[in-house]
Amino acid sequence: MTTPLDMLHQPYWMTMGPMIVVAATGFVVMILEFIFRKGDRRWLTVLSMLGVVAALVVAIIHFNAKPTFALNTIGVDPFASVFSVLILISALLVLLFTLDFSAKSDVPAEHTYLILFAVVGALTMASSIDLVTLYVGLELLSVASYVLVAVRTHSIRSVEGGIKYMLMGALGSAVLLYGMSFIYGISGTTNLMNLSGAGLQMFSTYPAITVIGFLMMLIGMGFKLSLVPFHMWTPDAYAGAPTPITSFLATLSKAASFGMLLRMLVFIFNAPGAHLFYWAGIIAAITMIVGNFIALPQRNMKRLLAFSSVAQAGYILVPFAMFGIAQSADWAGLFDSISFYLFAYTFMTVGAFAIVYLLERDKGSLDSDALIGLYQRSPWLAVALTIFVLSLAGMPLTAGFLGKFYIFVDTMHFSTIWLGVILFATSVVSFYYYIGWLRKVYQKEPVAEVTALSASPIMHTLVAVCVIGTLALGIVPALLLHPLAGLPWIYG
Amino acid sequence: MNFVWSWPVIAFYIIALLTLCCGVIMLSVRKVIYMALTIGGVFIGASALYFLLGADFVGVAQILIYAGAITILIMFAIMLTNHEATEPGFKWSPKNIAAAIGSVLLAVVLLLAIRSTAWPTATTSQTALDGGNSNPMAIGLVMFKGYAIPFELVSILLIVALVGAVILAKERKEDE
Repeated sequence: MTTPLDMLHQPYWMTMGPMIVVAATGFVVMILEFIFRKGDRRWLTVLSMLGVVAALVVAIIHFNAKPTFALNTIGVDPFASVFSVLILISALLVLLFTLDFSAKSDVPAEHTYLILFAVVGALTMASSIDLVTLYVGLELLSVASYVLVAVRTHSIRSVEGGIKYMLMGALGSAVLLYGMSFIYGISGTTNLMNLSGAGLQMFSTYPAITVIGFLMMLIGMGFKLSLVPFHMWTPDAYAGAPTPITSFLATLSKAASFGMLLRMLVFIFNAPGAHLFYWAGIIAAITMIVGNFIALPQRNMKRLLAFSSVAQAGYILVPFAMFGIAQSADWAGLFDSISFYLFAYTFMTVGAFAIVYLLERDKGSLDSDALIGLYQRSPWLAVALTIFVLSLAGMPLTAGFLGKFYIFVDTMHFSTIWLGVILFATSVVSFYYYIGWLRKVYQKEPVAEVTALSASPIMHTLVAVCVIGTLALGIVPALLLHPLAGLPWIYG
Repeated sequence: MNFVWSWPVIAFYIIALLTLCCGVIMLSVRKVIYMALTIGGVFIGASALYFLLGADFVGVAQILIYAGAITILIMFAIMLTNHEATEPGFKWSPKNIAAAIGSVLLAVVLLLAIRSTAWPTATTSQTALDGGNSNPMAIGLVMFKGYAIPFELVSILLIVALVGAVILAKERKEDE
C-alpha cells in the first residue's frame, strides 16, 4: 500500500450495503435462535426473508451507481449489481422453499442463518475486485454449503453427499488458490484493477505461467460449477441434500461461482484472451455433451436434474469462450447473454425442484414413476412442471429458449459456430429425457381412485412465482434485457 | 541457472528432502496415527522453508498453527475415535495407474513451466524490512488496513465453521 488508507471514510454502505444487511440479519437470527428454543421456529425463516428483501431494496437503490470501491477490495459496478440482484432473488426463492420444507421434515433451525451467511459469501464473490476477498467469499459460500448438504445427520445419503462435496470442493479450492498464487507471483498484486492493466505484459513475459494460472483458476472454479470432468460429486450431493438446499446449490451457488469466474477471467486475462479463452469453449463442449448423455438413463428425478444442471452450466460457459475473440465493445452483449440465462435458469430450476419435492414427499420415492398421473392429481402443478421442463429443454415462449437463443446468436456472431451447433444438438438430446418426464405426467394413473396432490399455499406461491418468472422472461424478455442494455459494463 | 554451494542452498536441499520424505511416508503408511505424525513433519519442513526465505512471521505461525494446533487436533480426533484404523493396502488397479500417470504428467508440466520462467525477484523496496524485524508489522498493516474487509469476512467464515461442526457433531436423535 503506497498511499495511506483512510479506513473511516470509505463508501462502505454504498459498496457493501446488501452484504451488511444480510450479515446483520444472519447474526440477529442466530441470537434469536439461541434464545427461543421451543415451539415452531419457522418465523426465523420469515425474518430471514425480510432481511433478504431489505438487502434487495438496497441493491436496487444502488443498481445504477457509478463504479465505486471501498478499500480497493469490494465495490459496486454494473457487474456486481446484476449478480447481487440475481443472488438475492434466488436466496428469496430458496428461503421460501425451506419455509415449507422445515415444517414437514426435521432439519435443525440453524440452517436458516447458515443460508444467510452463504448469501453473504455469494454477494462477496459477485462484488469483490480482489483475489483474496473473492477467495474468502467462495470459502464462506462453500463451507456453509457443505454443512447444509449434510445437515440431515440421520440420513446416510445426506452425509455421504456432504462429505463428497466437501472433499471435491476442497480440492477445487486448492487448485484455484494454486492458480491465483502463480498470478500473484508474476504480477505482485491481487487487485483485479491492477491486474487488468498488466495482463498483456504478464502474458508476453511469462506465457507458460499465465496459461497455467488461467487453467488452474478455470479448473478450480470448474469443481464448484460441476463442469465435466469435475462433476463427480454433483449427483450424490444433489440427491443427498434436502431439496431446498439442492435448489440452492443449483442456482445461487452456481450464479455466484459464474460471477466470480467471469470477473476473474475477464479482468485478469482480457488482453491475452485470444490465446486462452478457447479452453473455456472446450470445457463447455465436453460439459454439454457428457451432461446431457449421462442424464439419459437416469430414473431418479433429483439425479436427472443434477445432470441437467451440469449440462446447463455447459451452456452458460459457452459465452465465456468468446471473450477472447470479441472486441471489448461487444462484451456487453456477452454479459447480457450470461446474466439473462442465469436469471431464466434460476426460475425454472427452483420451480422444477419444488415440484419434485412435492412428489417425493407424497410418494416417498424419487423414481420418475412418481410422476405418473400428476395431471389427474393436480392439473396446475402438472402444467407448471411442463413449463419448467420445456424451458429447461429450450422450447420457444419460455425463458430457457431465449437464453439459449441469445447464446447461439453470440456463437454465430463471433464465428464459433461449432459451439452453437453442439449447444443445439445437445439440447435436442435433452428433449428426449425431458419429454420422458412429460409422458409420465400426462399418463393415467392405473389406480381407479385418484387422490389430489396436496401442497401448502407456500409451495403454490413458490411455483407460481417461478412460472411467472419463466414465462415473463420468455414472452417479454425486454423486462430484463432493457435494464441490462443500459448498463455501462465496461468502464475505467 | 548457475548453482552455488552456499549454506542456505545446502539447508534448502536437506529440508526439502526431509519434507518430501515425510510426504511420501505419509502416503505409504497404512496406519492413520502414523499419517498424522508424518504430516506434522511436512508442516515443520514447510515452516523451515519459510524461515529460509526470511518470512519469520509466517514460519512461526506455521509451527504454531499447523505443526502445533492442527496436528495435535488430528491426533486427538484419531485417539478419541478408532485409532486402530488401517487403510487397505495399495493395489495396481487401472484407476490407480491412471491417477499415477496423470499426477506425473501434471508434475512434469508444472516443473517445466516453473523452470523455464525467469521469475521476478524482489526489488529493494520490498526487501528493506529492517532485517526481518518489520516483517510482522508489514503483515499487520496489510491485514488490518488493505485487507480489512476479507479479514472481517473470515470471522463470519469461522462462525459458520463452528456452527456447522456443532450441528454435524450433535447427538443424533433418530437413526434411519
